[in-house]
Amino acid sequence: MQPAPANALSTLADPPTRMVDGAVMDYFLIEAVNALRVSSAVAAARAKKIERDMAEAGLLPPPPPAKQQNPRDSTSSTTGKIMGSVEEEESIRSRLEAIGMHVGGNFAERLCRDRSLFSDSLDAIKFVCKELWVSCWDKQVDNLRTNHRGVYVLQDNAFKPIARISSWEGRQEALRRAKLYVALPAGIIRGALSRIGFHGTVVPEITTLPQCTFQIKLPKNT
Amino acid sequence: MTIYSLYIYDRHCACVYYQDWHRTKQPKRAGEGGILNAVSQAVSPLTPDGAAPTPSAFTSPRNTLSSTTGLVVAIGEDPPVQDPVEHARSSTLPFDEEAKLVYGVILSLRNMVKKLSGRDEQFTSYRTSTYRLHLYETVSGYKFVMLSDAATEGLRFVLRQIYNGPFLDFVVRNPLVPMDSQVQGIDNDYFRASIDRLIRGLSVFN
Repeated sequence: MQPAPANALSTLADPPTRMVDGAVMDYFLIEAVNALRVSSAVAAARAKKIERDMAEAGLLPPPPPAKQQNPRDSTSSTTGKIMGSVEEEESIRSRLEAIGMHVGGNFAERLCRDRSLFSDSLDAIKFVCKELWVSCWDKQVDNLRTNHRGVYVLQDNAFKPIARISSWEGRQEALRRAKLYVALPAGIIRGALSRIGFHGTVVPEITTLPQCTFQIKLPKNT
Repeated sequence: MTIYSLYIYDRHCACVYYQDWHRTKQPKRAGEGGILNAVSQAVSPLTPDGAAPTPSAFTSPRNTLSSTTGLVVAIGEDPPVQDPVEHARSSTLPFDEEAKLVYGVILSLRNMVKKLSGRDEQFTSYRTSTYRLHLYETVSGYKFVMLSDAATEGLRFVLRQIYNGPFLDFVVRNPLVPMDSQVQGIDNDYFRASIDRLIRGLSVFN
């Protein structure tokens, strides 16, 4: 009788740690983005109100007079609206990334419990591509590229958090709104790397749904 | 043996989704404010400047019966069947009235069955000489209504499959679809495509 292949046995004996329940994560992310959106709007409104109050009390110089909304000048009003919503999106995105960093750091603690120290940054990136991806999203990264100078590009052809995003208004709109939902995973990666000692930045990019790439920049001295 | 159309209603009694495969007469577009935003490209009211709403990226390859403007008349239909709702009026109803009519029918029948036999009985389907209507209702109040030809049995199971598959995947777990909103339907590309795949893969479909 043929002995079973070694890695099949070892996966049975020591199954990879699954940290995240896919369905729960989806529901959580949906609610988290909505809640953060409302919370950011409230925080922004409160900050504006404080500014206005201080300006009225004379503590601050009065804010520059708001551009008169010329009803026939459509360009200025649309840029005003777009700037406002970009700022809002940015604040939600940074909060999601901060949450992800906490989560990623703790995942790394749990996953690195039994393994040896990381020899260099490439080793750490490989850990992210295999063990972190498997424990969070049940698959491995599809493509890893590097320029050997601290920049790594991880590509996932069917990234789980954005696999179901589809909008009534078409592909472009879905793509635009999906950018917010990869902020948390980017934070998880960044937090995990920083907990094991590699502090860098992670920038997610979506070209076509559901393909997603993460560009990781680590400092060069390791 | 074939399947005509599918309606989905939410617990606020509004039609949130519509899809059809065979219809003798194309559905007439709803009037302004008649139906919710994202129900179906083919039946949404035209925008005020007269342009049709942007066509969704999904067009079924074998769907010769409808275009995005909804003007193509069905050709090559086998036994000539009249869409059941058309019998009510001589001219075509706009879609929102048609949806309300279907909802009214199932609501009344459901209430009547409950009164006659008690709370445990459920209305599942009714049949006329030309068509059969199947209803599957979820605990959360979503009602899946499917119209098929009169010979088809047991489509309740298919409706349940639609709920467990495409609906859970691409409506419940889709961040961009507002579930319990009173202003928007649940139409989106992936949902439409996966329902279409499921229905066309059935043995009872044509």
